[in-house]
Amino acid sequence: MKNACEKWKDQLLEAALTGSLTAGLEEHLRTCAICSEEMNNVRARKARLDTLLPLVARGSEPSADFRARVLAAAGAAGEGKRARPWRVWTLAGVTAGVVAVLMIGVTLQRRTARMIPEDELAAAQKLAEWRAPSDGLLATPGQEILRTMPRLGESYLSVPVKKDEEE
Amino acid sequence: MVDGAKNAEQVVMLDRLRREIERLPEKLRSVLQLSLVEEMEAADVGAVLGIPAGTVRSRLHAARKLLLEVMK
Repeated sequence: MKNACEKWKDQLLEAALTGSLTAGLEEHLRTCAICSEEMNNVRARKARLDTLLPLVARGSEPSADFRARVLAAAGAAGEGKRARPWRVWTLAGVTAGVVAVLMIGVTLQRRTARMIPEDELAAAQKLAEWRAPSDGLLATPGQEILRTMPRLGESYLSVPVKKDEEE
Repeated sequence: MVDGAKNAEQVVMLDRLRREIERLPEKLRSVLQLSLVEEMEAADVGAVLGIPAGTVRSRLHAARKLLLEVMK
């Protein structure tokens, strides 16, 4: 490339990267065979770069050191600046998921606890309704004896006589 | 034989490109690596590095331009 053409160097690179020529460069390329050839070379290099860059990415993971530096820089930049939306939303999503799972678990556990088997329920009902056989004896003749017997210090005369006996 | 030579040339070019990437300024290299290796969008790279997505794109462009210049 001639010294006079050095000023076009940057525009050649831009043209190869963006795929568009400025009017000035287009005009120059029509008249300058060297720059025209250089344009072709740069375009070929750009095509090669486009092929190689994905291969570089596939073949190399960033070093642990690089990761650590990026994360440290991100942490430092994040303080007092805007939050990292994708991390915030990820954290919010995970939290919401955990809360939902916990709530479903607690609800299911409560429902299970409330569901008492029928046979157990029937047994409990029977137990609640059960009365001792002696309860019946106390309820009928026992009560009558207590009613007709004079209390301590009282006389038989003060005990009320049953009406049916009077008749 | 032709394929073998082509592959060998590609291996050499890849090695050279890796070295050139390592030589890039830190600001450009970090953007390029996050975009290429992590396959992150400009907005995500910006979120990680604490810079606007537009800055990420301009740094990526500058990195490519530098590589295009040196990979003769």
